Amino acid sequence: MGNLRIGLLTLDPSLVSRTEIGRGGSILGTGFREQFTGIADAWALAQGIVDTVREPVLVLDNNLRVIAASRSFYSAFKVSPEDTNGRLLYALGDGQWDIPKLRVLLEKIIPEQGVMEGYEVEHEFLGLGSRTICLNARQVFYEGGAGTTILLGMEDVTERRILEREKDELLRQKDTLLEELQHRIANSLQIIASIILMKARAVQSEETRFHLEDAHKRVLSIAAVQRQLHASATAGAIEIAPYLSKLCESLARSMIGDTRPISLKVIGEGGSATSRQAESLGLIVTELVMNALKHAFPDEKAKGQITVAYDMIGTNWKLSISDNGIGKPHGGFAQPKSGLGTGIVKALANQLDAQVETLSGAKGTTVSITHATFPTNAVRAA
Amino acid sequence: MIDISPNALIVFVDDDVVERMGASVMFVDAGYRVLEAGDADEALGFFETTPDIRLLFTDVSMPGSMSGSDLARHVAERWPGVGIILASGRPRPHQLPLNMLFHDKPYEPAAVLRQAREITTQLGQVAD
Repeated sequence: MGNLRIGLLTLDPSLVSRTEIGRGGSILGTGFREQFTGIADAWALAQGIVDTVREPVLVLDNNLRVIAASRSFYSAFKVSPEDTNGRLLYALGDGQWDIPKLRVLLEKIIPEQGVMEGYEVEHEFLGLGSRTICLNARQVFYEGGAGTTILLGMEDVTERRILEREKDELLRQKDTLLEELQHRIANSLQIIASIILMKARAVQSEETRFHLEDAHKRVLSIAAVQRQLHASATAGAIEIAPYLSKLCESLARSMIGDTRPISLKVIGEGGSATSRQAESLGLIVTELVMNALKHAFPDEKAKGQITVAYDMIGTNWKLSISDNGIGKPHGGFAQPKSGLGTGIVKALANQLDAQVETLSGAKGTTVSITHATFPTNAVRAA
Repeated sequence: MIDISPNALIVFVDDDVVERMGASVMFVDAGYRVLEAGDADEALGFFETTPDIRLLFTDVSMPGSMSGSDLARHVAERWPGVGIILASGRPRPHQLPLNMLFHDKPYEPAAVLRQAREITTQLGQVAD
C-alpha cells in the first residue's frame, strides 16, 4: 500500500488510521470510494478536512463529477447531498454552475497550471441572487497514476466587495465634501474681504482705513495658510519646507507685488508637523513677513531680502524670519502702535510650546521661534 | 490712484451680489467702468451689445448654462481682443488654457488691479 500524496503533503497510512474523523457521517460519492477502497481511513480524513473548512469545498474527479462536497457547500448554496454527489458539476442546481468563466478555470487554467487562487466569478445563483465568488482550485495527483481530482474551494466575497465599493464611494464623497467645504470657506472669506475693503474705502479717517486694510490683509493671509494646508494635507503630517515655500510664494505675490524690489525666500532642512502646528507656523510666518514688509524697508525702492528658515532636530525645531532692513533702534519687535502682530505671534508660539526671541540691529531684524523639548519635559517630569 | 485713470470697460461676473458690489467698488475706485453680471448668459448679453469691453473678470463656479471657464473660452474665441482673468474658491481648473490669468479666492485686489492695468493698457496700445 503506497502513501497517498496530496499536493506536497505525504500521508502515512498508519498516521491516517489513528485520525478517525467524521467517518460515520461521511457522505462521499461512490467514485471516490471505489477508487480508494482499502484506504477508507484516508478518505475519512479527506472528508473530515472538507467538512471542517468553513468555506464551501467541492472535490471533483477528472470528468468534473462531484466526489465530495463540504457541509458548508450544501448550506451556502441551499442544495442537498442527494442532488450533489455523483453529479456532474455543470448539471448541479439546474445548470447554475455552468458558468463560462468557471469552465475556463476548470477546463483550461487548471489542466495547464494545476493551481489557481483568487479567481473571482460573478453569477446569479438560484435563491441567492447575484453573488461574487472567489475560487481557489487545485489539481491533485496520486501516486500510481490513479487519475486526478480537483479541489475547488469557494468563498462568497459578495458582502466584502460591496463593503469595499461602499468604502471607496464614501472616501470619494468625503473628498468631494472637503473640496466643497474648502470652496465655501474661500467664498466666505472673499465676501468678508470685499466687505472690509468697501468699508475701508468708505471711511473718512486715515487711521481707521489703515486698520481696515490691515484686517483685509489678515483675512487674505489666513486664506493663504488654509489653502496651502489643504493642498499639502494628504496623509495627516505636513511637510514643512514645501508648505512654507508655497505659502511664501503666495505671500510674495499678494503682499509684495511687482513694484517693490524685495525678495522672499525659504531655506532650511524642514521637517514635518501636524496640520494644527503647521497652521500656527504659517500664521507666524505670515505675521512676521507682513511686519517686515511694513517696517523694515521704508524706502519703497530699496532692495530687500526676507528669509524664512525652518530646521528640525528630533522633536526640537527653530523657525526664524530675518530681514536685511533698517532694524529697530531699541531692539523692539514692531512699532508700539501695532502691537497686535506681536501679541498674535507670542500667543501662537505659546501654543506651540516655543520661545520668541528678537534680535534687531543695523543689519536688520531676526525673529526666532524655538521649540526645545527637553527643558520643559524635565520640568514636567520633576 | 497714482496711475492715469484707465477708464476701460470691465465685465465682472459672479453669482454673489455682495462680491459684485465689492469688485465694482474696487474697479470703479481704480478708474474703470464696470458692467456687473450674475451669470454667464447675462455677461454674454453685455458682450453682444457693447463693443468696447476690454476685460472679463469672472468667477469659475456659477449656476446657469455655462461655468466661468466655459464663458472665458467662449469669449476668448469670439472676442479675442478681450483680456480674461478668472477667480475661484476651488483650485485652478485643469482644462483652463495656460495663458488665462487665475486668482484663488479671496484674491488680492492690488494683484488683480495690476493685471487689469497691464491688460487694458496693452490692449489700448494694440487698438491705437
